[in-house]
Amino acid sequence: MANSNQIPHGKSTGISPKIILAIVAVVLVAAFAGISLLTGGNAKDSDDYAGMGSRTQSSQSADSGSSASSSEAPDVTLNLVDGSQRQLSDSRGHVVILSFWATWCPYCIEEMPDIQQITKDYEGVEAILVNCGEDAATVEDFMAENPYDFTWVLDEDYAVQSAYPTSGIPYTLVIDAEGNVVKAFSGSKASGMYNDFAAAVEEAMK
Amino acid sequence: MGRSNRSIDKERDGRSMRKGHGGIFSRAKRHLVQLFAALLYNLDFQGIATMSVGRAPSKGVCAPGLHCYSCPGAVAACPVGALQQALASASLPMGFYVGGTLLAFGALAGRTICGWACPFGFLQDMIDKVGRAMHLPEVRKDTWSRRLSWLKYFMLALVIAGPVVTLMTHDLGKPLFCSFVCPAGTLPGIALVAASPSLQSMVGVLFSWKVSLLLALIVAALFVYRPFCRFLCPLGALYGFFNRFCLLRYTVDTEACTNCGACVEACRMDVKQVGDRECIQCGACKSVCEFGAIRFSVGVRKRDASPAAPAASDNEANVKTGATPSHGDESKPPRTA
Repeated sequence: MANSNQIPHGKSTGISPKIILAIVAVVLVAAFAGISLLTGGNAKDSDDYAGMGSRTQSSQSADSGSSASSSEAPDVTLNLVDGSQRQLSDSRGHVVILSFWATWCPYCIEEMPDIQQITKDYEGVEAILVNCGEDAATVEDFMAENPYDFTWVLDEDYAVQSAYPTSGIPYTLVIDAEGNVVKAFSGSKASGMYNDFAAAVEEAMK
Repeated sequence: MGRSNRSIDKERDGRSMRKGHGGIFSRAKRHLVQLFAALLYNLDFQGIATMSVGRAPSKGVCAPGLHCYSCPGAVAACPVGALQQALASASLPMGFYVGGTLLAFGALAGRTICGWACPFGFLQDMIDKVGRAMHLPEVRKDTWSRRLSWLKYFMLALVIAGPVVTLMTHDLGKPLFCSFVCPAGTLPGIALVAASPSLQSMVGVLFSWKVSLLLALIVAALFVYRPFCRFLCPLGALYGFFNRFCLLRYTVDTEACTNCGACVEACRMDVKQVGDRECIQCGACKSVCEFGAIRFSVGVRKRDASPAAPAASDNEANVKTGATPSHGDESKPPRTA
């Protein structure tokens, strides 16, 4: 065990930190290029909306595993901010953008101008914004500051959200006039969602 | 390449052997505590099974360590995420709540949390074990790493300024650290994207960046001990401010200490003194101290000095008085300066 080459304490030994820094930089660049190649151009359609997985197995069983190009949106009771109630199925006959959001979710709020623009650019599209878990006062404060022309829905006990295969927000679905989900979007893009929403709405209107 | 490092390792091991079983045992014990903590952070087995993000009420409480709220297993909130959220919402009650929680964790444990109760720290410890087992050369601390360790204060600034600035400019506060840096959030991110086709169609440049950063950190962790904790972690930077007076920490008995510097030399963090801002209270110094001058202390103690470098003062006297009684004399109060 006796070493001939004793190294004094406190000295950095062997490999130079610069080499490690270079290795790390190379990994960073190579991985970035590799992952971009793998995921980029990945515009493949996710037709079933088995979003981020659901805790409610029953609701998921209806549509999970289906490779059909669209599936029926679970019907739910919507509690509107104004106190009234209605069914989601009451919206059949026109295209619906159903979006789950919360006031603490900046990426949800960023989608709202795009959703508003869609309802202006495509006639007959209704935007239903389901708030996740917050009380009426919080949502009303938000509405006062952000006067969008949406159907605002409260979902304090997550009853609506539980019916859909999501647990993360933003989660936005485009539903056609027959009540079928054309496309579901989990999360949002930094570059904005208008084009994605527009494409889905056009598909729904076909 | 690795020869010289290994000879230091041998020397270090030799020293802890001289101290008896304490060193190895305490290190294994720490890893067990880390593993247990990582499990406690991830008790939402249903979330893991269904790859979904839970909404349990317990998520209104911060875990002490860095741990993404969006992890399918997470049962609590990340203090860094919660701090950014409090700043973004500009809500005074939430600010007090998160700020108070952070102060409480800091005052209780400081960076003891980094060493013992952070899942991402545990992950890096395990990657380090792999690196050593593969006999990869280890780059030890030096001027370069001490310089780089200032970067984490920039990250702390980003945590605080990110939501505040975006709130002012875009009227919408954003957690920029979570978005662009945090590798602990990338881990569950990869899992969620892998499990969800609809997320796969959404990922773009940001996803590539974050996965690359995580991979780079993992590679770095094979050669450099705990690179994220030392250079990037804003939570470690914050808890570091509490290290000098928190309740759970290692302290140096200045009477027993001979200023030999073995503790600082053995330490793999960028520590200049036992228990300074860079110290994660792992206890590696305790097992190399031949004079039993370092011990884990619980409770409020007077601030005590430890050696910054070997000093040739009145060492001879200290060796004689300090070396023998230190073991059985755990309750000895620190010398009043």
